[in-house]
Amino acid sequence: MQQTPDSANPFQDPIRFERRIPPCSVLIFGANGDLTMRKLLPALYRLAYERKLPPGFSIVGNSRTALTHEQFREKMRVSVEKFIENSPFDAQLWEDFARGIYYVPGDLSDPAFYLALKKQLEEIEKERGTGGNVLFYLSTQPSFYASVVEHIGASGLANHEGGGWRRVVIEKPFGHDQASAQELNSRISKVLPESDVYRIDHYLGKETVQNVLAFRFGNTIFEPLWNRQYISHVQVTAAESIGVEGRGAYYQEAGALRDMIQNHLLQVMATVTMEAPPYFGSDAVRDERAKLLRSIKILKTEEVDQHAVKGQYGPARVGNENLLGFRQEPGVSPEAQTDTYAAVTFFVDNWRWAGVPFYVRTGKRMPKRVTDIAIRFRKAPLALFSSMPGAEDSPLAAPNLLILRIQPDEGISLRFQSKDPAGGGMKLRPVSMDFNYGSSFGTRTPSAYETLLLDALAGDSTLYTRQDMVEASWRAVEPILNHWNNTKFDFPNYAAGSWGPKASDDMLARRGHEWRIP
Amino acid sequence: MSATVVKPEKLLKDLSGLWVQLGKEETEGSDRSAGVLRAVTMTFLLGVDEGEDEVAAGEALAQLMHEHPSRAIVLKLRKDDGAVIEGRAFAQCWMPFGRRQQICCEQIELSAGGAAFEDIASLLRGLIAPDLPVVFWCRCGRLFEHPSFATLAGMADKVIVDSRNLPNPKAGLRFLHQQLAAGHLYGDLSWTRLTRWRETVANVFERMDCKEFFNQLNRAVIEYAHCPEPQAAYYLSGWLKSVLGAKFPVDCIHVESGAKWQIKKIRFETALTDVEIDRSEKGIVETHIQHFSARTVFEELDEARLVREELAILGRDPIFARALEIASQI
Ligand SMILES: NC(=O)c1ccc[n+]([C@@H]2O[C@H](COP(=O)([O-])OP(=O)(O)OC[C@H]3O[C@@H](n4cnc5c(N)ncnc54)[C@H](OP(=O)(O)O)[C@@H]3O)[C@@H](O)[C@H]2O)c1
Repeated sequence: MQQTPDSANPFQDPIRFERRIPPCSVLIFGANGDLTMRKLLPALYRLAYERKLPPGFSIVGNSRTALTHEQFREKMRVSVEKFIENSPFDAQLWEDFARGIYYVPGDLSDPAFYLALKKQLEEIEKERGTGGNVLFYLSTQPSFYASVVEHIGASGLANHEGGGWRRVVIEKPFGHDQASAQELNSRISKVLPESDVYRIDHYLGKETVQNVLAFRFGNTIFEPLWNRQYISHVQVTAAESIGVEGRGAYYQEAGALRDMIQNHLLQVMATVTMEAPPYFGSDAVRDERAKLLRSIKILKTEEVDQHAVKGQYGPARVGNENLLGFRQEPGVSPEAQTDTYAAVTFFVDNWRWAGVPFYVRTGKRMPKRVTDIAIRFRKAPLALFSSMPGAEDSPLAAPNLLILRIQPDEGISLRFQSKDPAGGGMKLRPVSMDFNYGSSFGTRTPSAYETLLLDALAGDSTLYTRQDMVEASWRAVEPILNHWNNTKFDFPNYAAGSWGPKASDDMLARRGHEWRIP
Repeated sequence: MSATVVKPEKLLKDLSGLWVQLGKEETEGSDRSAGVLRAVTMTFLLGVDEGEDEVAAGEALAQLMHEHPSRAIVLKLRKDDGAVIEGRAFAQCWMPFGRRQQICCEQIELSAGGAAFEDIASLLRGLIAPDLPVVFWCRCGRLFEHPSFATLAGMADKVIVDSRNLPNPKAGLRFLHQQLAAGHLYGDLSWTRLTRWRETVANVFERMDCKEFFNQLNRAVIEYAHCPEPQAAYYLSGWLKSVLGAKFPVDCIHVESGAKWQIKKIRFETALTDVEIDRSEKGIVETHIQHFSARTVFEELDEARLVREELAILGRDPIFARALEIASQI
């Protein structure tokens, strides 16, 4: 993704040559977990399938469970076969791929374990020619992040005598508030420079989120309208139809604001609203994202109730299914104050966006799974066709709406007014022009983890979040978190299978807006 | 035989009818499907020779349409010089892996003998999908020499040929160079075939200090098989010369080889040590740099893969242009 001229090697041909990943290993901490099995291994396998990985590529898994290399390989084969999406499983290729998979059991808090890891990595380097390049992937409980990095430093794993690179990918959540994020950053930065720290936000790896940049900065027709003068407001929705799916205990501590808005949705919002970077390079893009995140207006405590809505689902019957309320889910306290729904009105304090509300909402147990960004333009300045009876307040008299769909069915739709051919006269009705990403190009879109893993292996951090971005987004949500912590809510306040609490509709109504149904 | 008049409107109407029909079949069909999606990203003209590898051309086209759904127009030059123009429209559909929606692309076939072929160009003007790029893959040497080639090429934003299949490959290179110099976009699959070789050379130089190495370089040698017109060797030496400059000789040496491919070996000779990239008869490629050696395999690339690489480049390609300029003077 990063485009830097390769002046040192005159034989390079960036137009035609594929981005080259040097020989390397990926070391996964927490490899017995859900994320490794559902996402990481299927993504790595798929990259191998597409021949994007270098010869000798190796994977080392770790967790406490005692497994041999062979048992771990078998476990991974089963999960790759189960979770690989839109791709065939090729047994022959798996054989080759599995030869580079290893397992080192051990407890993350045991210093001796890191020495065993070091030994294993050295053996792999000799046997498979990985050149000492290692990507550490922290797929463990977040409480381990800092100490694992410190152990990596103390055991000498953070550097390689032969000059191989060492990078760390850190999963979300990155801290649980601003202070903890700062502390984590400071502990990690004692071991590794910022350029070797890759904080993953898988939303940024999604094809449509990347496409937002192409859409905005590769076309001339939208960018001139991309400001307070033409845009009335923006709605970002990330709805899930599922509940907490056995992760109740974890979710109870996190909540929707922390789990989705602080990271994913603020990054998405920054992508939609940032200024154009001077060139498409990792720091140039991230500087603009960071600048935008720093421009988000910080709410005062007394403003929180007007600008943020906390919700939690209660039991309901949807179709022929009885859905539990959040407090009835296994592992959840019957008095839990957790937000399974959060909606926030953000403002961006800069010239482009001053006064434009950004409504961001996320929730579990919504009517369907959908993530999209809706940009609502202002009404036409002159209501030329409003003299027709009933035209002014008709739901059909809708202003232009641009929808960037992130999932499912990634794509872009533009709603505009057109003359209704039925009935005669000059009646208008909105029509939608759709571009469906997946089917317009018959190719398969890579999963976010494929994109992001490949970027990390290539040393491109454009789609990873930087320390200043993480801290700025914590700063933006912290007043809300604090106020919510100090308030007792009367929960549940929305039924499973609905679009969230009434207070959320009221929040928009105060500005004369309403949530669209995605 | 009196010819039926072929009209663009009629062909386009047939295409529209096809879409309506496909939509109906889909909605009446299995409950898995969710309709047909019409997708056009360009007009793709494919020039073929009747009877000569038509099936392979059709297969390559079908493969390309998966990634580049297009209005494909097959231009078939008939064997019978007096054959009249004929045209038909049809659709090619497929269900992408794991999706519920069929993707279809439209296809038109126009055929004529040499005498009537020039009229095809005038028909095409009404058939090209508006506002989208036009790419012309001329897969047929006879068509390349036909007077209508210039008109067809003039309609296209990019023309793709394979110079090794042209009636006069060497003249072909000169022609391509003139076209590029005049600002037209051309691709040559004989050059595209070299990407893996060039990538391997570039990878070798990732491992070493280039400046130091070039200070010691005496010459580069390309060993090739297949005479009389080794397009690949011309291109490769053009490329090496364009990178290394006039200071170093690049010698092409003909060797015997039973393998299908033209390039056998590239060697950089220095005062101290040689760097060698060698493709064995079995296709395995070995790179030797001092004590280090690495092995890899060059997959054989079918035409569809090569054309796909060209379709990804719809702008200028200065590295190709420089290599071609030198190759065309050899
Ligand atoms: N799951 C998801 O879909 C998802 C999505 C986004 C982000 N994340 C983040 O990704 C990370 C990993 O998620 P996950 O669900 O896979 O995590 P997980 O299941 O909680 O943990 C991964 C594995 O770590 C091992 N482990 C626990 N304590 C250990 C210790 N002291 N020493 C060594 N290994 C230990 C466990 O295996 P053993 O019992 O064998 O030791 C466990 O299976 C988390 O930070 C999570 O927040 C997950």
